[in-house]
Amino acid sequence: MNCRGVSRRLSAYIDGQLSPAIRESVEDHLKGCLLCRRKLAEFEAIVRVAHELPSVGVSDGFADRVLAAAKTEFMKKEAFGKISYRFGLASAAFITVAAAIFLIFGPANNMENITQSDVDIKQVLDPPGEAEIQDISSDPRAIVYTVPVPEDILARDRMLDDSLLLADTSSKIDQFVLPEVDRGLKVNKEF
Amino acid sequence: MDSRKSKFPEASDKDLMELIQAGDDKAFRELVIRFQDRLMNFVGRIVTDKETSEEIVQETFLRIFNQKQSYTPQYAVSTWIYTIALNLSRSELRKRKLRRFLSLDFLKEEADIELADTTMHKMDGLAPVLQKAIEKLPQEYKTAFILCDIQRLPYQQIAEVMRVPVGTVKSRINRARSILREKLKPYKELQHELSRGIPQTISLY
Repeated sequence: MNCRGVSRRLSAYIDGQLSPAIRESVEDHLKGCLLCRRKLAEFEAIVRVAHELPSVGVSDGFADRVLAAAKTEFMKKEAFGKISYRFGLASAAFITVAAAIFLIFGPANNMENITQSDVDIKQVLDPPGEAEIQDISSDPRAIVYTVPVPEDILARDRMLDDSLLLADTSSKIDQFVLPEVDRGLKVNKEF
Repeated sequence: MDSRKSKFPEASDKDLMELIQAGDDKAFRELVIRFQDRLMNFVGRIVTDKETSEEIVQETFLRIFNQKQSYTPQYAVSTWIYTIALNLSRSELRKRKLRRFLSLDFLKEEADIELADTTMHKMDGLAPVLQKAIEKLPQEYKTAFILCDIQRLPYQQIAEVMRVPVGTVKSRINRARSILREKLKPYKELQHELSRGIPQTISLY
């Protein structure tokens, strides 16, 4: 082992942290190297003086102060825990009551309004199939608008995929049936 | 004045922790007495301000008290305590660095250390020079040196406290001693110490 290798291992050597083989190798080098022996002695002097450095102690009554602080902190946490527990209970009760009131009076009332209106919500949310569509064109309250689809649009759409069809001669989309609004206004117009 | 007479002379650190976990306040007080000076001597040399050091040591014990249930006997109690103290000390140093940066004090030379002044009068020979030199060591070398040569912890425990491999600990301790040796070389006190000292490891002469 050379000086560099010994120098790197001097502290581990002093602290007994080397394997027996490496320790022996370090000692072999030290026996023949005055510089490394000098360095070892200086390291040992530093360690020895460091061991003897006066210690810095805590002030008197430290343990009692720490114990008092720990107990105070613990009691504060306990108190806060109780407060937050009560607050949590009160919040949960409030939310439950509010939810119950909403369920009893809120949505039920709205549902009634909707079912009583002219629009059937079931049809809006779940439109009926084609078989269920009623032809109301004969209804005297209705005005029928006939909207012919231009031929060029029909020709274009025929070229598209079925899933993309916007207008088709086989569909009834070219007839729009609007309910009459009873305002004394009569509209009968052909586009 | 703390009563230094132990009420738990036979109890190991782990026994004390078990009692503390069961809610025994006297065992907690015993643990504080057992570690207070060691911790103060450790934290005091890292943050180098006696008042702040005592606050950090107190905070360390409060954390132990509040988080006593999180301790597992897998590690030595002292490792756990030193780790908490080191983390709090590092946090304090970071805050201090930020404060100095924000107040532009980093442009000035760091003020001389209060801790050194309070203990300097007790020292003679190489000790005061070494104390000053330790304070000027880079932080990680200083921590490793203090844990090894002042707290006298084994390498493995230092590695656990600093959360680095043992190889890194070996290297940091060796580097710290090399830096100190270079700084102390010009002082005649080192030569005096060398003449006083008996090589502790082997007799080569």
